[in-house]
Amino acid sequence: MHSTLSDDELVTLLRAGDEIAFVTLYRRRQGGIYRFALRMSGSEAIAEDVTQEVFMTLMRGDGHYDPSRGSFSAYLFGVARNQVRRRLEKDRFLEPIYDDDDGRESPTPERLIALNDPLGDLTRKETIASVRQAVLALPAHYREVVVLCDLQEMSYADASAALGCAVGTVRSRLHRARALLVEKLRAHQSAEEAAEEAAEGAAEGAAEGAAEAGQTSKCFV
Amino acid sequence: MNCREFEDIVNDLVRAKMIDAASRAAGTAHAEICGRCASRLADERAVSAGLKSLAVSDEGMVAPASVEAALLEAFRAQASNPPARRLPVRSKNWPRWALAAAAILIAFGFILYRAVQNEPRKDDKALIKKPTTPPPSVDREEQVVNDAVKTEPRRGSRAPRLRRGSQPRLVKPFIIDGMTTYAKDSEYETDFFPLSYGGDQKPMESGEVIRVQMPRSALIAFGLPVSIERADVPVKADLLIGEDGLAQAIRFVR
Repeated sequence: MHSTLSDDELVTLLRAGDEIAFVTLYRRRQGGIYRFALRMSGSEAIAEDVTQEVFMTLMRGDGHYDPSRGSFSAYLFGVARNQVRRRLEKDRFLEPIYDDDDGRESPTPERLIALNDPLGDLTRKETIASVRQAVLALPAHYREVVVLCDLQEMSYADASAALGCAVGTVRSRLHRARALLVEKLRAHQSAEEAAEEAAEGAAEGAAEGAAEAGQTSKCFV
Repeated sequence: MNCREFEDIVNDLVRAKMIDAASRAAGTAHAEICGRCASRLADERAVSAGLKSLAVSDEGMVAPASVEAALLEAFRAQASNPPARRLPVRSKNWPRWALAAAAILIAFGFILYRAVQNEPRKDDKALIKKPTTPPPSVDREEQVVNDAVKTEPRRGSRAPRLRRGSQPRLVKPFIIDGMTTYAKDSEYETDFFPLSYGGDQKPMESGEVIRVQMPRSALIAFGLPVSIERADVPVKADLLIGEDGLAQAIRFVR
């Protein structure tokens, strides 16, 4: 029954202490909040903490959700955004501790990339990894509009409610953010092409050297 | 459409957002004839494709079950121990009489505190607590006081003066021996309250008593009650003036 209710109706029930309403809201919205936090921070640990804190805020009623100021989804993303920013600011001077065997955690964990059809995925994995890195490299105020509008497919109006700024600001930030992404991806592509050319040149040089050595040895025979 | 106008709509062109048909057609037409804008459009499409791939790859990612379990536990704990509700905030428009009463109480408390803090000094006690004659008759009260403190009336009466730069400080009332026994029955309302000026005071060798009139509000400064009906009637007081012309003590009379 609860699953058919709107977010606002569930919030009303939640305020009356309805546990099922809380669980329904959580299961309906936690994925988006978790992915938003993950894409903003690049860290699963931070994403988990932020998700938990967002729903704790909702549970305590600290955030004062007001339907007249935006959708419930926008409200949750607004809380998540503040939590992420706070967390990133707090962790700014900390050195991360990596759990992997080699002591380094890849900023883009392999399990976050699709593994179906390994041959076909090779290029796609690289593309996704480079896009993910480019997004993470954006300044926070540009990154959040890309995550909300492009990755979460949120409307400009909802994004403006979540970020607490005007729709025009969202539009202009998104425009600038995408231009920055183009630059970063182009730079990444150029670097990869240069590396490939260098590798090909080195291989050709080695092959030619081997061939010349073979001819020389024949002369001596 | 020119390049600047194209730049304004290029995001909406590739993001499949609501854009009017005329703008879309004009933007597409401009990209066909402008190499720079065609390249810009291609870049935007590449970014959109990359972001779409990223969104699809992350689609199934959710918070681990442990988060839900922790939240549920917290929810149940909160349900069993609801946070204390805040008391409703009353109107801040307090009646004026209440503010006035509060101010009077605070002032009275402060005066009492100051009085308790300032114990009479030994010198004062030595000066005042001298053996006195048995309680005199009512018509000789003032003379008795003068005898008790060995005052030497001076020629003429002059107004008591305060030491420059210092204000008299109320100290704990002290009793002139022999006076308390008849004070209630005589014209005296109070015993002498010594006045301190903060510095070292020498024992008083001699002095004189001068009767003055003061505003009734002066009683408040000594922690004494003031009758509202007689608030504008001045009150009489005796000032004990030392050799240096400073008022050393005060008492109120009927």
